[in-house]
Amino acid sequence: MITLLILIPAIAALIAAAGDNKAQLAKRVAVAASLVCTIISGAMYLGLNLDGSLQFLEKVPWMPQVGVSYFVALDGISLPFVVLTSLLTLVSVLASWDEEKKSFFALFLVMQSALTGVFASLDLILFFVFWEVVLIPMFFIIGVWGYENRRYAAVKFVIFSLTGSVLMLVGILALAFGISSSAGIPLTFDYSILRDHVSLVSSLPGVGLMFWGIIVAFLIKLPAFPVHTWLPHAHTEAPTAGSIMLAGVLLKMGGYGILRFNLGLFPQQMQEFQVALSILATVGVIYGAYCAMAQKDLKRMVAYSSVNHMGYVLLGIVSLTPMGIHGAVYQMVAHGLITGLMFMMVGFLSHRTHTREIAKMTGMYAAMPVLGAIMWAAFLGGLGLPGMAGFIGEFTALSGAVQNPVTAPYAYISLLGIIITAGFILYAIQRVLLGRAPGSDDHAHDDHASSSSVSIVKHNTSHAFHDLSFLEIAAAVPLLVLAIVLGMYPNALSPWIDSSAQVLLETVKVVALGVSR
Amino acid sequence: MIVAIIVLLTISGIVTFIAAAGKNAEMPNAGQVFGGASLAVFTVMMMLAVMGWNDQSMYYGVLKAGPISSLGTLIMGLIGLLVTGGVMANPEKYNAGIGEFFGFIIFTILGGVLMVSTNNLIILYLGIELSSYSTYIMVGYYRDDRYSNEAASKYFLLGAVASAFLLFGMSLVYAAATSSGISNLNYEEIGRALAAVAGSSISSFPLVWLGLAMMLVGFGFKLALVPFHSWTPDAYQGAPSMVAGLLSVGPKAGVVIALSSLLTSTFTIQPALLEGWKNAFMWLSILSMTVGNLQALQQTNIKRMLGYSSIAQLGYIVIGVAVGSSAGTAALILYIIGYAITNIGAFLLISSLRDAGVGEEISDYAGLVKRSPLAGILMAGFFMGLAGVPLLAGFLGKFLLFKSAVDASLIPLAIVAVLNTVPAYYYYFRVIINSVLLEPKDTRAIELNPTAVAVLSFALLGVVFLGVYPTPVLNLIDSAVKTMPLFTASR
Repeated sequence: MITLLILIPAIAALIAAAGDNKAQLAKRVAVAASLVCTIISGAMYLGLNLDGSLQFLEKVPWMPQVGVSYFVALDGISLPFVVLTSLLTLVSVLASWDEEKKSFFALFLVMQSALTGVFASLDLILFFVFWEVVLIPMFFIIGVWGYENRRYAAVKFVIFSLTGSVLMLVGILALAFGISSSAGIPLTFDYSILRDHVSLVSSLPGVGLMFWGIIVAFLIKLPAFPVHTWLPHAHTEAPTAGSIMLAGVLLKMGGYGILRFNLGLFPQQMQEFQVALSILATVGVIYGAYCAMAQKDLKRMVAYSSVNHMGYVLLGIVSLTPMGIHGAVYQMVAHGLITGLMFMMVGFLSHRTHTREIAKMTGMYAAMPVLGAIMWAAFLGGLGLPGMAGFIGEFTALSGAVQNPVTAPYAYISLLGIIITAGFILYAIQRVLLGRAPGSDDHAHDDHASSSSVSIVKHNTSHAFHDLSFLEIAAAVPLLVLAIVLGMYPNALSPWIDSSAQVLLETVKVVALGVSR
Repeated sequence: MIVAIIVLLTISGIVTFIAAAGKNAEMPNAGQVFGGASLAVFTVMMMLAVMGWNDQSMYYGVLKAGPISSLGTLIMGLIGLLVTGGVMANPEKYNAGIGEFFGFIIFTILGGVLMVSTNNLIILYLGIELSSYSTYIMVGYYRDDRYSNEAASKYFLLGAVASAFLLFGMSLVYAAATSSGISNLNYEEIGRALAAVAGSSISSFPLVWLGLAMMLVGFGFKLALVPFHSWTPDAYQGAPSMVAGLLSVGPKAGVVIALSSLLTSTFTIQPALLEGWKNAFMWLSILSMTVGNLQALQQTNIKRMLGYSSIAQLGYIVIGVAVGSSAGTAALILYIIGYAITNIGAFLLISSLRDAGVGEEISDYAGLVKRSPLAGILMAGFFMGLAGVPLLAGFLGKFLLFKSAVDASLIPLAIVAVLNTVPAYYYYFRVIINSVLLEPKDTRAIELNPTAVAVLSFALLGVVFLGVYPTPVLNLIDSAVKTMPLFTASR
């Protein structure tokens, strides 16, 4: 099943790349492939046995000489992200229906295939391979189809990611070599075998360095302060669909990786460095929110809000409580839906107004009611409005952090972040969505836009803005509906997360007891 | 079989030269005829090597057949095929004599075959010289080009000095060993004699050390390891691209495999010598990787960049020699195969783009993908392969080399090697970034030569195959390496 999820988009990518010049075939193939994958992974999600075990297991030796195998499996933590990957690819393709280059769609399909591999693979080398493959399509998507400053952004994205990857590879190798020599087993990168020997990890020489080597790659992707600086550029310059995938799925690779590999294989170090990581998370929350508030560019503002949101995720994970981890995963899924939607709406909006500057837009709700309404909903979701998925994620992540006395102070500080977030989101809504529609009479009563900036917008859109097309609505609706459903009815996701989070946390306790004994 | 291969190559080389001197050599499609003949020769050679896989006999006391020599011959044959195919794409360029050119390729490969199948220092020297002389001539093949001439003279003068070092070192080692009455220069015999000498009188040790040091200088020149690398960038930049491709892998693959057999059969007997030899290669490796990569960062000419990067790549390969374990040797051979295919592919692409009117500065590749999507894809494929992106050939080789270094507890070496991948990524990706992201300065479409496209696609398929499913190749290499004298004992 999992192999199918990886292969379908890969084959579809080949078909799309071989297709016609106007990408008519490529688009349809991309939609079909991601739709089929969404349905398959959705069915797998519903059929998952909630006992926290690894399911849909597939294991074939790949390079037996060095203990590398093709080992894929899913559990309650990884499966939501696989569904999210397929769904967001579908949505991204729909959202960029105007694109006329077939390679654009082929790259999205390659990325979907690799992302599924990242979330499913349980062999460390296989994971690393997929992790690297994800980089390549994203690099081209930003670098070829992005906005003015795209080359700088693409290169910065790749350099940051590669630095992380190299450190991660060193960490993985050191860990596998260390375990195989101290446990006296042949070299293996198999996650489940390594986890059987997790009690040996703490006694390996240089284990702290291994832990940091691996986590740095994830912190960069997450992104956590202070290695987040690639994100505003990448997000701002990427085309709309690229931003959706970047925010929706690529950032989740970081959080997922910390949970699966740092918590799963280094539980002791996770506790040891809890405070340091909590501080990074808190700084990310506060600093990200303030940075978002200071942005003049709407897309950049949404990008910085990701730094803020991912801070809650990190805080939830390092709290090492079931509730905190539940909140972290929930928040990641919610952020994928809501921020994906925010980027989509900002993309649609700037496509129409030909600007991303907040100061140059006003009255968009009046001008385009459907776009405005969906954007309003997405922004409120980003603010953490109760009733939408983001609220449950943030709430449980923070309460999990409060439960653990070590992380509690940071949770209280992070609460301030919610207020700042509310501040910049409401301010953006006020400036962009509210006010009179450009082109309507009587500018004198318009408080929020100087007459010159309004005239720019008006000049570009003398025929008034056309509201969302049917396809654009079709792209937005699944995300909006899911964000609300997950906000109203958490049981659609919580049991899945909880089952696997318990299994992960049991190791922490086992190891902690083993040491205190 | 090994004798048959050597006879085959010698005769076909000579016949090629004689035919090239004839009147018919001026006919318009001479390049295709000679090229086709060379392809046939290399194919037959590879078939013979496969047939002789299990042949373990010794010929005339100096040629040692066996899986390692067969494997080495296969690698040399693969290099020969790729280079010949690349030259056939546009034979008109080599107007100084196209027939002879193929003859020189055959002799270069013959030199490599001698290096990998011999058991004797003199024959090893002969093999190295045979391939060196052929490449000296080929580097200067653009007779009217100033850079080609400069490259040839630099390469020749420095190469000759290096050969002198190598030969003098060998004679010193022989002198040191001769007191125990050896009659020939076979690897094992020298090893035993050295052990006996070292055991009896420590005073003759300096002679051995000096001899080995001079041999090291010679090998270092041939492999272009830092600090003996200074000829590389000029030679690569000036030489015809296909020659640079051949130069970067052909003789070097032979020398590296020969070094491994030398190490496993000669220096195993005396631990002090073995350790010294391995240490020396470790330092050469560390220096080559670091200096090569840092210098490559600053290059603007793509062939110069590949020249410096080949220094770094050889630094990686030499990790296998420094480790000296069976895993290290296997990793080294896998890496050579991947590097040979990728690097010849890269040089062939540069050469065919040059034929299509694109310069050799990295900035000339701006917007390549818009001018020829195929060239853009090939460029991305080969340069990612060189950088070591997973699922392409370079990654697994690097990975196995790191692993062998860690297994041999050469942790600093492994760390330096891993850190060195970062600058390498940067400069290889700079080429890809140029060809994909930048706007073209010249928007005319490019047509690649169909022969070149065929060879390039074959090479790219090989790169992908080695990256995705290396197990059969890896098994083959493992079984061959296990027959080397040192590793048979430890099996």
